[in-house]
Amino acid sequence: MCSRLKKTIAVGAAVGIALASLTIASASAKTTKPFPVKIKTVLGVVTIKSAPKAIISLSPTATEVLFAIGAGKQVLAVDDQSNYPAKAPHSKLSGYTPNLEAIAGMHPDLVVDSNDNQGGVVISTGLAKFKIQTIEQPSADKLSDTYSQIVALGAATGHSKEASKLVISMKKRIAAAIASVKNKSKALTYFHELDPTPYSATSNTFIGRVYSAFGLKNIADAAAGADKSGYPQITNEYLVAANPDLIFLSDAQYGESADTVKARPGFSGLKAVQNNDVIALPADYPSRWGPRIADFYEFIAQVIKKIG
Amino acid sequence: MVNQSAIPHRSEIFSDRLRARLAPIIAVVLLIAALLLAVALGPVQLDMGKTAHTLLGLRGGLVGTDRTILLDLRLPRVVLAALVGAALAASGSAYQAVFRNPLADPYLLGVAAGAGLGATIAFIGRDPGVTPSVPIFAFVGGVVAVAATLMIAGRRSNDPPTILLAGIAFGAFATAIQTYLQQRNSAVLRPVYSWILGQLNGAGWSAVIDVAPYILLSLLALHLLSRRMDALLLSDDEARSLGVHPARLRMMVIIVATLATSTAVAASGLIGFVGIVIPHLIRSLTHQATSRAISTIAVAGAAFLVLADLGGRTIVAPAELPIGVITAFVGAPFFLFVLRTRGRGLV
Amino acid sequence: MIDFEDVTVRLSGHTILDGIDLHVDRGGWACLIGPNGAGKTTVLRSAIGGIPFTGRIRIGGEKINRIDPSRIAYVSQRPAIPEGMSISEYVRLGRFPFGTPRTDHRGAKIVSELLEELNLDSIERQSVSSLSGGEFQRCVIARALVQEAPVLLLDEPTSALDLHRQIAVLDVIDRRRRDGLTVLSTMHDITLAGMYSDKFVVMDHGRVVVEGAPHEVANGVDLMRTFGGGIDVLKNLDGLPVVFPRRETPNT
Repeated sequence: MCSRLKKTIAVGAAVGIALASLTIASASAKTTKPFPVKIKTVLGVVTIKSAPKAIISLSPTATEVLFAIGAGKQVLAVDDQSNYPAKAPHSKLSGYTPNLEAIAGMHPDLVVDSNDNQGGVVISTGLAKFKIQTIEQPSADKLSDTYSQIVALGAATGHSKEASKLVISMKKRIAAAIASVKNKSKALTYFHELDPTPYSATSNTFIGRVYSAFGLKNIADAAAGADKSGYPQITNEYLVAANPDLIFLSDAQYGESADTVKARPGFSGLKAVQNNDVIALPADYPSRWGPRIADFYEFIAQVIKKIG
Repeated sequence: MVNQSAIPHRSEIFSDRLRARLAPIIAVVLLIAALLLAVALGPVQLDMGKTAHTLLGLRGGLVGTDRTILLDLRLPRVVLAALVGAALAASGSAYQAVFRNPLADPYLLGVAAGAGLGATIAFIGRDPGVTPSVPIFAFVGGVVAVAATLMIAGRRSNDPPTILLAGIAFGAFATAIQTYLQQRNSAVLRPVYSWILGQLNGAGWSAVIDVAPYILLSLLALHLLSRRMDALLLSDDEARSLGVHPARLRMMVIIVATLATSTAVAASGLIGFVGIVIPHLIRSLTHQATSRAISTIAVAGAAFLVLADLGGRTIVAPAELPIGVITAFVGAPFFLFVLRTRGRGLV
Repeated sequence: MIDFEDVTVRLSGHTILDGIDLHVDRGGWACLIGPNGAGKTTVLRSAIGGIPFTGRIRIGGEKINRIDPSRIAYVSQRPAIPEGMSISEYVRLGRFPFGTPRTDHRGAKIVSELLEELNLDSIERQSVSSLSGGEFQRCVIARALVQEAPVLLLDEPTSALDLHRQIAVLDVIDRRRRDGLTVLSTMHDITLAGMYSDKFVVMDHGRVVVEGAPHEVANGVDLMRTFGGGIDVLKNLDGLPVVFPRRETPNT
């Protein structure tokens, strides 16, 4: 062969190999390299260039998610309300009255909050001045929101696999809980109490949908027109007349119990009181929408099973 | 000389004496009507005949849940509304006499701020197993507020404008503390807010029993003091020449009115407008000097609040509308109306 | 009837009254005269118990802290104007010491008589807060008179009244001296005071400078000195002193 042809073949092969390896490389970059990743949040698209190593969580729910998907080691600090898991690095930072300087002063590389716009302070805009990225994960309206938030945090921290696993396991547990009491729960009415005045949550709230998944009927739905966000105050007269089978006390952490409910005027004759079906809810359940919501479904299933 | 009697006068139609005599009777009739209406109506419909039977203690009355609703929920709530309404209207009227200021209301001396602070502290202190009594804290808060106000006014606590300013100062201070505490304990925001709007929903007979003696005693005391309160409309020297001790009388009236207001607030939160609108309304209808009409004012206040509470229970049933919202809605236009008719210079 | 013995009033370090001695007989009318700040109002206020003092004040022989204060009627220089009260209600306040309308049988009659005497009956339904200065001043006097007290203290009772009304009102008061009313007043109009009072008491800087019958005091040197020489004293057709301030004219 003449040397000119050899050269052309060599160059062509080299280019071909280079092209091929580039293609392969870029293909594998799509499937194996987790960063940079674009996260769709309520605030818009946040591009995370590399795995964050100093995350500050200003949301108790986000804290739970981060630790549940294995990103705990990447968490620098959590806010003063994040009490689960206990091993999370606590701080005095507040998610309700955020102090931007204090947050920025800890040099995080990612901040997760649930309440970005505090009226006077917009956390994301404020932190952007310090070149810190923020992901807002507001309170979920329905279960699918929870799942999307878990997946988003998984992608943002480089734990997508664990996040998917978590979602799958939650779905399984929830379905199992509902199925275990399918026939019983459809006939029952309930009242979910937020405080003794009494404020309640209708079925049009996150927590209301949990109960609805079991087929439970919410007596506060009759008052749904009174509050657009789903938290009306109902009259005691109506509550007594409706006589729900179950009363859930989310204000148990504030001192309410089956005994205090029984002592209220007119309540001693209620079905739920007489059958000991006034259930004190553990703290946190009603106000978080994280991984432990599956625990809550299982809790309700247990309660329904015990009803005589 | 111009004959002044040529000016047409509304009161020519009913002489003042006639009005003064009729007013209490009409007020009582209104109260009875309001009570009956409030017992008969509500978010849960009760059979009228059986209700009447139950109330009269006859056989064939309501049974079961309906009976519980009537006797344990509705009736005490109506009675409490009447007591609170009477207390607020009467003490509002008393404050207006003592401070010679038609805009004085029962919460003037910082009672509202003090009671609100007390309630906030009670709400914050709630823990599983520990429920500090909101009514007691609110009551103590209200009383402490007035005592603090009088102390701030110091030697010049005889001087109405000084006491008013001291009340405003203390009120601002107490409110600041309350706001701070609420910020640190955001979980109490909603219960405190709904408490501030006024609340008769959870009332039972125990609340009525706790409250009735203090309110009734205060009302009686105010009635007995009412004649002397007329003298407070004059300057202190003039009052002295009528045989009254202005400083002592002022202090007594303030103490009694504060007791009534603090008790009312402890029972039902901060219900506004009753203490300012009802006295004005009754005075402009009966043409009576401030203090003479105090019993009529108390009865009218009771009727007003009973009806307002009925509204709170029924307008958005089965949801509850805070009673403070209703008194404001009704009170504000009334107030404007009274202000306009005052301008004519006729009593 | 009215006796002041060495009465001294001190307030925040200032001596307002310095050892005042004063005596007014029953049925008499004494008038306090003097420049602003002499302490005239304070004399009246101490008699009604409005100001702490040292010394003794007696009414009808009794110390004032022992007597019923409603035995002294008081017309203030700046009376409070209550809201939402008619003239008749306001005047009726003066009957307060007599109890409720039920126990006070004569009250209604006394009130309506006095309203007529002071020409307030035609407007008795009007609100006191809508009255002119003169109308309200007549109300205050009416209120003081329905009290039927044996002693009447008047602080500038005619300051807002026109010439005719001044006489009319003071006549109403003067008539009651026949029934034993004792009057102690302060008046800036010395001429007017001289027409009614039987004793002038001249005060300056908290002390009594001179006292005596009006025409003596008016023509006396002490009155002239108290007002810094700036007054002229003449006699009117009835022989009563006419006192008015002198103005230095630049040329005649």
